[in-house]
Formats: sequence, C-alpha cells, structure tokens
Amino acid sequence: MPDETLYNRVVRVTHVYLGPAADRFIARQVQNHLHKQPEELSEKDLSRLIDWIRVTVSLLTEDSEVIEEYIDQLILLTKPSKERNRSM
Amino acid sequence: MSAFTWLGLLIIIYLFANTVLPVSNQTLGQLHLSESQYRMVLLSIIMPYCIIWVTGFYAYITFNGYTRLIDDEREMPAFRQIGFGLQTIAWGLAVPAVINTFLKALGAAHPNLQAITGVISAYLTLAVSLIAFTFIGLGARYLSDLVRRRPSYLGTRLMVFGFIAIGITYSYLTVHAQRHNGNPYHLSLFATLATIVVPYLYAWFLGFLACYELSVYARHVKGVLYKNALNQLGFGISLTVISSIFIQYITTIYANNLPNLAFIIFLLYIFLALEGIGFMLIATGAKRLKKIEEI
Repeated sequence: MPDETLYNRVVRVTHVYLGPAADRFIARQVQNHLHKQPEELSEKDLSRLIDWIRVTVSLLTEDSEVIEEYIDQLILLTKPSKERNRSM
Repeated sequence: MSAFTWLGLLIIIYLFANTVLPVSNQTLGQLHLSESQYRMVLLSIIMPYCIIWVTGFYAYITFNGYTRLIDDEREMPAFRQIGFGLQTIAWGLAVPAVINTFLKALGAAHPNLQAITGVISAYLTLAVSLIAFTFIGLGARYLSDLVRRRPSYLGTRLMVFGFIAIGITYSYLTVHAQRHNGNPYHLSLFATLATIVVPYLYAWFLGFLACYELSVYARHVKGVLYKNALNQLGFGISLTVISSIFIQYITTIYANNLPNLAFIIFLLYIFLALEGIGFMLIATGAKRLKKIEEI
C-alpha cells in the first residue's frame, strides 16, 4: 500500500495488539508525547514514538514476548520498504 | 446523591425492614420454621446478597466509566446498551428486594392483600429481567454484527437444546406449584403461563443468546491485549447473566416448598457467589479496557 500514511501503517500494526482501540491509542501517544497531530507523524518521529509505545504497552501487559513482537513490527516500519518486505 | 449513597440507604432500609417487619404465618408454616429461625435464615442470605449488590454497583459504574471513554467510537452504542443492562441488573437486585420486603410485610399484616402483593412482587422481578436482558442482548447483537459473525450452527442448536430442557423443567415446576403448593403467584394457570412463564423464558433466552453473541465477538475481535481484557469482561457478563437466571430459577423451586430447604439455600449461595464473581470480572475487565484508553 504505497499511498498509506506512516500514521496509518503504525495503526495497522497496532491493530493486531489493541484491536478497535488501536487508532485512539496511537493518536493519544502522538498528541501527548510528541505534541503533534496524528497526520503530522513523520519518519523521524518514529523511533521516539516506538520508545513511548514500549513504555505504555509495558503498563498494559507483563508479557514481554508480546511487547517485543509488537515493537519489532513497529521497528520494521522504520526500514525502507524493500527491506521491510524481506523481513515480513 | 451518588449511586453508592443510594445503595447504602437501600442496604440500611433492607436490613432494618427484614429485622423488624412482620412475617406471615403462612410463610413460616410452609418453611416449617419459627419466626426467629426464619429471620436467621433470611439474614444469612441477606448479608451476602448485600455484598453482591455492592459488587454489582461497582461493576456497572466501572463499565459505564469505560463506555464514556469510547464516546463516538463504532463499538460505543453496543457497550452503552450493555452498560444500561448491567445497571438494570444492579439496581434490579436492590430495589425490588427492598420493595418485596415491604410488600411481604404488608401481605403478612393484611392477609387479604397477600395475593396482590405477591403478584406485584413477581412482575417487578420479571420486569427487571426483561429490561436488563433486552438491552444486554441488543448490545451483544450489535457487537457480533461489528465482527460480521453469527453464532455457529452447532452452537445454536446446543443452546436451543439446553434452553428447551431448562424451559420445560421451569414450566413443569411452576404449574406444579400452581396446582399443589398454594399457587405462589396467586394467578390462574393460564395467567401464570402467559404472564410469568412465557416472559421469563423469553427474557432468559435473550440472556443466553446475549452471552453467546458476546463470546462470538470476543473470539473474533482483533487485538491480543484488547481481546484479553474483553474476554474477562465478556466472561463476567455471561457469568452474571447465567447466575441471575439460575437464581430466578431456584427462587421458583423455593416457592414450590420443596422439603430440602438447606440444599436450596446452598444452591442459592453458589449462584450468588458466581454472580458476585461475574460482577468482579466485569469490573476488572472494564478497568483493563479503560487503561488501554487512558494511557
């Protein structure tokens, strides 16, 4: 999906873990921690966002496997699309 | 005044009324108990009952707190309806119990009013079931529509089979009570069947179906962490609905004047405990979902 925004890609990954709450969760993280509107999310914000997500998701579950899997999926978004497709 | 303040008042009135209001000789005769024995048995049921009221209020208030956080979202109308159903169950435990205590006392003091107070009491409890299960059913249906899933072929048939078995036994026990055990509902056979048995069975069917549709939603919704919290919530709602159905069922057996009162009270305790556990699961599940929406 080449036209998909970065924000939507982050939400799509998050949907696997937070289901219907994914969009609201990511929008809140972007607004509260990066002080931006969700549509303004850029590639260079991603690593900071991932750090915040790691912290907040750790408050939701103690299952480190789930947390690491989720973070790994988000890290893949920081890589160029060719590399990302190879890793998936 | 907050819901918990109202609940506190209701508990005080309920305990006071059950300690001082008169008991009918007919009830004492049916149960083969003296007045003091009757009050002891009653208090042993009332105390855990009041604890369950508290858990019920805590559950619906926590659940509604979560619903307010997801305002304007796709699943919100469903959760709002379920929340209203849970609120009806919680208030429907306390308010009718207090009213019924006064109605019973009125019937004991004026035996000519026993029939009418009995009828009002029966319809009041029935109304709570109908309203609560209708709203929980509407919400559960809406949620299963969101994941575009219907209950399975086998699941539906098993549920209908179980429901028919419960329904037939319930009808038999009610008719038996009407004919041989002093007609506890004070209605003709036709009126009992048409206005007590059929609406109760309808309400219970809605309750069972709602539990099933909630489990369908919980199985198919996406999100590992969301699903864990939702499963806890869904299981809690199912446990509460099913326990409250069986409590109503056992109350009918109790009205049938079966000789084994201790066994019936034991069963009642078990389902009251399960209902309480169900409320606690609803509260913890809703808290976990709330956390997802707050952090």
